[in-house]
Amino acid sequence: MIEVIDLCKEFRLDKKQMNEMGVNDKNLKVLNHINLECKPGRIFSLLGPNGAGKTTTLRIIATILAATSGTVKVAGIDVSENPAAARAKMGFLTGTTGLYERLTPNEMITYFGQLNGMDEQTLKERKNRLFDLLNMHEFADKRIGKLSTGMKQKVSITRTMIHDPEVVVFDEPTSGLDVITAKNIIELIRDCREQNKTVIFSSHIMSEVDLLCDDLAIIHAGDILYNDTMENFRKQMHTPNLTEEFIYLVNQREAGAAI
Amino acid sequence: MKNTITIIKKEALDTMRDKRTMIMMILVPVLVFPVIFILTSRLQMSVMEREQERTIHIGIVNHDDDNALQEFLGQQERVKIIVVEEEDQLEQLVRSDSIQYGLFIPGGFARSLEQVTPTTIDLYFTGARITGKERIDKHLNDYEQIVIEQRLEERALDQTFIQPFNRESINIATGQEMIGKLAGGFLPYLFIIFCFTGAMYPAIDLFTGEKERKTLETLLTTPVSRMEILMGKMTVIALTGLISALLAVLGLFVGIQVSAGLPDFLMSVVMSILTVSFVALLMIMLIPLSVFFAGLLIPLTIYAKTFKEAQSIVTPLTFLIIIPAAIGLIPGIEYNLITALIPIVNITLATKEIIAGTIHVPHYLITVISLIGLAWLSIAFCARWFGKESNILR
Repeated sequence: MIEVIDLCKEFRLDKKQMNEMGVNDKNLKVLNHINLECKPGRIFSLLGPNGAGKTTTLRIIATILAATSGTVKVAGIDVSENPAAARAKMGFLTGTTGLYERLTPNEMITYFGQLNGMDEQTLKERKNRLFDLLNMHEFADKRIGKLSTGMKQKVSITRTMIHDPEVVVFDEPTSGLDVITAKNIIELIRDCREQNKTVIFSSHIMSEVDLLCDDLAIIHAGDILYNDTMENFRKQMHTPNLTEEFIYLVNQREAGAAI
Repeated sequence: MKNTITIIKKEALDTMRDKRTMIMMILVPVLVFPVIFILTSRLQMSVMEREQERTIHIGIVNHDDDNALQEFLGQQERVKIIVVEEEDQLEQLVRSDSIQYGLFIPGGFARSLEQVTPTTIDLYFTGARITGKERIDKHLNDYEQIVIEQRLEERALDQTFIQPFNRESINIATGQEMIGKLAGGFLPYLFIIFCFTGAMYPAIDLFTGEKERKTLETLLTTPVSRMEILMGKMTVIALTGLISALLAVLGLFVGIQVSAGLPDFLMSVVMSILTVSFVALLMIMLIPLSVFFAGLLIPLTIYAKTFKEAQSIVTPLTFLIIIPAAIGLIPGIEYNLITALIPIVNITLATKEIIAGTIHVPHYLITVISLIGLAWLSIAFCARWFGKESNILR
C-alpha cells in the first residue's frame, strides 16, 4: 500500500536556474497538495506530460527526495520518519536505470541483495529462482558492460525484485527501450499484480497505461486532474480514446488557469 | 557498519577493474621513478663515457716562443692540438664544435713562469657541454703542478712551504641527516601528489560516474543510509590515495636501487631510511591526509554532472596541492609550531625531519592531530553535502 496525503514539493532555485526558467521566485512549486492511494494487487498509473511532477512524486515515495509538506506512507511506514524501513519494502526501477558495467549480474544482484539485508541462503535461493525465471544463467558471470540491452534489462528487473519487495515503483520503466525489452517490463508489472504487490508506475505512453492500469491519476503542473479507477475514467470520457481525453483534460486545465 | 563493508568490497572490486584507475593508482607510481632513474642514469652514463673516450681537439693560438705547454698538452691521451692563427677564431671554432677548447698563450708566457711573475692564458670553452671544461682543466692543473714542483725544487723548498697546514673536515651531520635536510623534501612532495592523483579517478568514478551512469538513484533506494554509502565510498577513495602514495615511495626506493651511477655510501644511506619506524610515522600522517584528500574531492565530484566536468573541476585542485607541497622544498623553512599546523606544508617538513632523524615529537603530534581534525572536518562537510538532494540530483 502507498498513501500520499496532501503532498507538496518546492525546489529552491539558484540564480542561474531562475534565469534559465525565466522566473522571479526562488521557490518553484512542483507538487501541489497531491493525494494518492495505491492498493496491493492493483496497478496504479501516474500519467502526465514531461515536467508534470511524476518523477518528483515517485522520488519522494522512494525517499530520494524529501517532501516540503505532507505525508507519504509505504507499507504503512511514514517515509519521512523511517526512510530506511520504507526503502526495505520497496523496489525501484526506471527506464534509464544504469548498471555497474564492470560487475557481473551475479555480483551486482548479490550486492543489492546484501544491501537489502538479505541473509546468504535466502539471497542465493531467490537469485537462482529469478535467474531461472528470466533465463539469466548463461550470462550471469559475464561483465554487464558486455551484455545486450535486453540482458541488461533483465539484470535491472532482478535487481529490483531480488528482495521480494511489497511495493514496486516504476518511473517511466519502458522509456528508451526497444519493443521486446519493453514487453519484459510490462510482463514484470503484471506479475507484480498477480503476486499481490502494490505497483505504481509513471508514464506518458497512453497505450501502456490503457493496457496495464487498474487505477489512474493524471498529473499536470503539480496538480492532480483525475484520480480514480481506470474503469470509471473510461466511463466518463469526453473523447473517443485515452490520448485525446488526456489532451482534453490538460487543455481544460490550462484554459482554466489562463482565465 | 555491515552495509559500509559491503559497499567497500563492491567499490574496491569495481575500482580494481577500472583500467584508468589502476594505471593511475598502481602502474604510474610504481614505474615512474624506476623508469626515469634507469633511463636518465643510463643515458647520462653513456654520454659521459662517450665524452671521456672522445679525442678532444684543443685549438691553440701561441704567441710565445716557447712551446712547452703546447707540447705537454699534445702528449696527453686522446688530445689533438690544432694550431690556430688568430685569437678571434677560437670562439667561432668552439661554437661550431670543430675544437672543444681554445687556448690563447700570450707572448712571454714561459718567461713569466720562469721569473715568477703573474701571467694569464685565455681558455675558450662552452658551458653548454656536459663535461664543461673538466677535461682541459685536468691537463692544465697537471701542468701547473709540474711548474710548482720545479719552482720548489729550484729553491729547495718543501711542499709544506705552499701548503702550510692540512685541513681535516669533520662533518658532524650523518648521511641520513644531510639527505633528510637537503633532499628530503622531494619525498613528501612526491607522495602528496600521488596520494591526491591516486584518489582522483576513483572519486570521479564513484560519485560523478554513478550519477552519469544513473546508478546512484538505485543505490539511494536501498535501505542503506547516505552516511553508510558515503563512508563506504570515501574509504575506498582514501585507500586508493594511500596505496598510490606508498607505491610511489616504494617506486622511488626501487628506482634509486636500480639506477646506476649512485655512490655506494649514498645508496646505503638512502636505503637505511626505509625502516619500519619511518614507514609507520609516514603512515600515521598519510592516513588522515588521504581521508582529507578524499574529503576535498568528494564534494566536487558529487557536484559535477559528467566525468568531463568533474575532471575540469578537480584538475586545477592539483595545483593547490602542489604549492604547499613545494613550499617544503624551499631551504630555510623550518618545522616549528606554526608550520606544524599548516596542512600539507607540515607533512613535507615533518617527513624531512623524520628522514634526517631529527623529528621533534611534540611538533609531529601537532601535525598528526591537525591532520586528523582536518580529515574529520572533511568527512562532516561531505556528509552534509551528500545529504543535500540538490547536489545529488543536480
